[in-house]
Amino acid sequence: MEVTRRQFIQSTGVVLGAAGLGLSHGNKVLKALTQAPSPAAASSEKLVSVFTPCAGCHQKCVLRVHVVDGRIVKNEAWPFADQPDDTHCCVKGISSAALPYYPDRLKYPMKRAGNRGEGKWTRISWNEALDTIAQKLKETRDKYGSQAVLIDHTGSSVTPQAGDVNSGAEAIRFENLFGSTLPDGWYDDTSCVVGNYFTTGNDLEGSDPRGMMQANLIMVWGANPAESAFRDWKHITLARQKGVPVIVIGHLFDPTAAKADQFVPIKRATDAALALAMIQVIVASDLQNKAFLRQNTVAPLLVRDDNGKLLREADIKSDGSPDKFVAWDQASQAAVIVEKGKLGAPDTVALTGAIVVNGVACHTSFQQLVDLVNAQYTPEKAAEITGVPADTIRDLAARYAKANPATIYYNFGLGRYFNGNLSTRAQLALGAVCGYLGRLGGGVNLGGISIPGAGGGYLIGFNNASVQQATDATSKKITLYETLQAIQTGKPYPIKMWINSFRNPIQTCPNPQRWINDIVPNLDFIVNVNIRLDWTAQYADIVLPDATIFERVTVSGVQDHVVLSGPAIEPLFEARTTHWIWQELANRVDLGQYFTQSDVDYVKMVLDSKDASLQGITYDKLVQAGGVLRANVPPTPYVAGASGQFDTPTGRIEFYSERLLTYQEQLPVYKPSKEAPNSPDPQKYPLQYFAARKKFYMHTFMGDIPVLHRYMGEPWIDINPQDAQARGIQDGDMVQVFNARGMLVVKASVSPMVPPGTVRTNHGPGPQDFKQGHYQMVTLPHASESTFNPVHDLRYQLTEPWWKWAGGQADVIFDCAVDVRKVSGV
Amino acid sequence: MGKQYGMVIDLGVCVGCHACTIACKFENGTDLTIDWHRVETVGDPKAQVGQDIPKGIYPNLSLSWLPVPCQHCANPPCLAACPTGAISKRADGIVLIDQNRCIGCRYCSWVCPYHVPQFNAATGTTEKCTLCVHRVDQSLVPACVNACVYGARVFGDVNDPNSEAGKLIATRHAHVLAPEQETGPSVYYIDP
Repeated sequence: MEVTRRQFIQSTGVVLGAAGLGLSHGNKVLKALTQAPSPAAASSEKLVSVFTPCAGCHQKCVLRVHVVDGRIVKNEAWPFADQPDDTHCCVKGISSAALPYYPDRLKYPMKRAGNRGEGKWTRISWNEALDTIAQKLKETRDKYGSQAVLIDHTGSSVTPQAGDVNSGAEAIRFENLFGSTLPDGWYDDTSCVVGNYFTTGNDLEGSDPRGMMQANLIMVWGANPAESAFRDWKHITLARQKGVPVIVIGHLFDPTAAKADQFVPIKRATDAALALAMIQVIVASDLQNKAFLRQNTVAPLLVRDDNGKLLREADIKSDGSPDKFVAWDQASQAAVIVEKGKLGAPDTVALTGAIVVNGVACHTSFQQLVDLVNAQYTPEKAAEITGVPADTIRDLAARYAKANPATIYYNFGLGRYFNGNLSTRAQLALGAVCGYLGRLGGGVNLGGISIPGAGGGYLIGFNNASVQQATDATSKKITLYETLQAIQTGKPYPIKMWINSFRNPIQTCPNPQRWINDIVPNLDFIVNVNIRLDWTAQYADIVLPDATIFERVTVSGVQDHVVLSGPAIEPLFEARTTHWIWQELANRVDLGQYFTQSDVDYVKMVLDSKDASLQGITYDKLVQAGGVLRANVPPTPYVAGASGQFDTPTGRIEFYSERLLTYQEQLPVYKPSKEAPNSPDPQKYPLQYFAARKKFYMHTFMGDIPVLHRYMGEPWIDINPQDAQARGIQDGDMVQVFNARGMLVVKASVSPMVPPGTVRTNHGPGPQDFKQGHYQMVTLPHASESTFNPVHDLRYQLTEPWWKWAGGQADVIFDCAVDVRKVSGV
Repeated sequence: MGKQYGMVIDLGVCVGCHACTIACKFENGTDLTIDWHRVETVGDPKAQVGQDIPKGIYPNLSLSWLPVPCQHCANPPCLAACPTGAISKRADGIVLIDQNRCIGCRYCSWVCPYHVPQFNAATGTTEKCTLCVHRVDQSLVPACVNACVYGARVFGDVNDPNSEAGKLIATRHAHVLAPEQETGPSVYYIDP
């Protein structure tokens, strides 16, 4: 039976009478109920499954949205009957019930009436808006070629996740057909992903946080999940309640640190030195997991002394293969050939030592690591770099190695420094040395993110070629770095038009001046599809009112379930789904024949994919089940790396990466970050600055919902009492935070949550929230020459197929030094 | 002892996320500026709501949170102080303000040691947490309990030693706020 969308709405609507769930919406109803609950007060209520609109959080909560008389009245966590511990939605998910109704909702199409960014708009009809955009698409194509159009479908605030159908996926379909430019990657913090790529080949692969219940020790390292990753923190909390100790290694005394059994303060961006020193201690104490190192890692493979490359069979045998590697068997005193991707090795294979094979002098990869840590990262040396006392380092190392297993939980925090990939590589090397990678309760885990298939299901819509690809035509794919260079310089080709769906790079990216001064003026025409006029939308020529996640239908996988999401309500005002918008634009540029499917058709296309985790799950079955079905995935939590398949040149875990020899980063090393402690920064501003996450914001989004904004209050900057006193700053004073790049004026909060030498503010508030300037104006510009990292570029060049989520250049939002002075009269 | 609905809140689990406060606002439709539930930061006393300033000198610091719903006291001082009889205590222990009888005199606000009753200038009456009586009457837990991501709050009959709440009170050394006031609160706290 064909089920229409309309039927879907009705069938998921559980109508509740007097005996149903209690309702009290608005004081009038409540006041009646507090006196004598009245059956009449409980009107009909519909319950709809919807994803949280919190794109970029990666926790992907599912909401049970309560709709009364066509209006969303409240959200609560979707109760997964088969996985009750995974019932969760945070304060933002609850508050998102107000999102469709919030005061600054973009209600109808508008065109710019003043200068860009001036905030003057004229209301126009959808027809005028779409005709104008189509005209500009054609003009731009005719004058500069189709690649001069940049269509941006993803980023920090796409709703609900990049590439879901009826939002991002149709944009990609259009891009491919039109031949426009599709910028690669994210606009922020992918440095840790680069580290993961070179070590395990697995990019963003994460482990299900439920696995942490099996850990004997959890180290939260460089992350604040108690404010920014509620699902992960829930499972850490459950483990804590079971008695698993939690050590927090970080810089701020944030809510996560407040819950730690032990808080280990560390200087910013020195984390690689700590991890390497822990390896030094572990190896010196002979606590390393030798079997794991032999069988799963690059450890026994020989490295040539003369050039640092892995020894190949071809190096020692005339007919040897250049794709096979060499280890040394101590028992037979002979070379052992190791094939790519083949794990395992005899117990007698040498892990350490200097070995000469057929005249070629070598050391094992593991010996290279041991030599490095012994020479440069003894606890005493690391203590100088990190500020963590040597005895603490020894204790951490012993506890980690003996926990068997221990989880290192990190997130995107360290990836916001220029050296973030090295921090991640050092952490992964530590996990490899103890044999914790790929093990339930172990792992060096990038939060609860990106699990393959519908289990984690990030990309089930996105990866579906039939959705993205209507013909063989493809978009022009270049890195974000190249994209911005192209806009700025016209090379290698000009980009003149930008259609941006619900993304706010001017604010989410560091240094908005780069966009406002370098990027925006070089674009002839800018379209912004949005639910509100965020900072980026302010610079558009035409804005189009988008539907919220509550007003459209999509499907994705989350927490081992496949979830049909919405619509809970019809689009408000003149808002339209992006599904409709792309269809209308396609009709106007002669691509309408490829956009005949309905939004539900796209959902079906995704479910029809060959992904094993989706087998047997159909649209109709989802509708009948109320929107949520268990995916075909095992009941045990997914563990990154458990498959033993590592997409590296050796097919093993590569703490030694031959590919990074050029940069002297074949082993993870500590290199001072751009403007962090020990850095060679010539400006030498004395205070470390960063805008960290606060629980009420999802990047730049959500915190402006009035009910959340009320608790967030006016922006402030945390400054340590010592630094405040030295500058004559009292609590509540207005201060200017400045460096050579820019400034902001903000209220001082004298607080010991930051150590001396550091100031911290909140990521999220918009320019309207600041007296002067903005918190991003002091930060290093992203995707620019000053922050170009060749290792990131190499990763991008090596990655095939092209799209593996992150690529190009990671931002260095946290690498920032400033000074602070008191100001008056603002 | 008779039935007394209340809850046990594990402060060792609470991270001050405010999901409880905000779920309460949606559930009960309170005015934006009126909170029936609040989460206090226990750290530096100058911390505003939502601001987490720890106490001490870096890195030797402490920080926790104290969620405060109506305590639904065994001996509610608000009830005793109410001149119009608008405040009543049900057989299950829930303390309610009848909005039709409330004259907004605010005596209840003054005598409540927990600063719970909130005067609403728009209605001219005082209102407060009802323990989501409309949900409780339908065998649902209060919205704040339902919203807690971490299960820090357990609802139940705190006088029943066999209830989940009663067991926690006994085994986790839960305590009440301002016991010297002898109000007999029915909200118990497990220290962090």
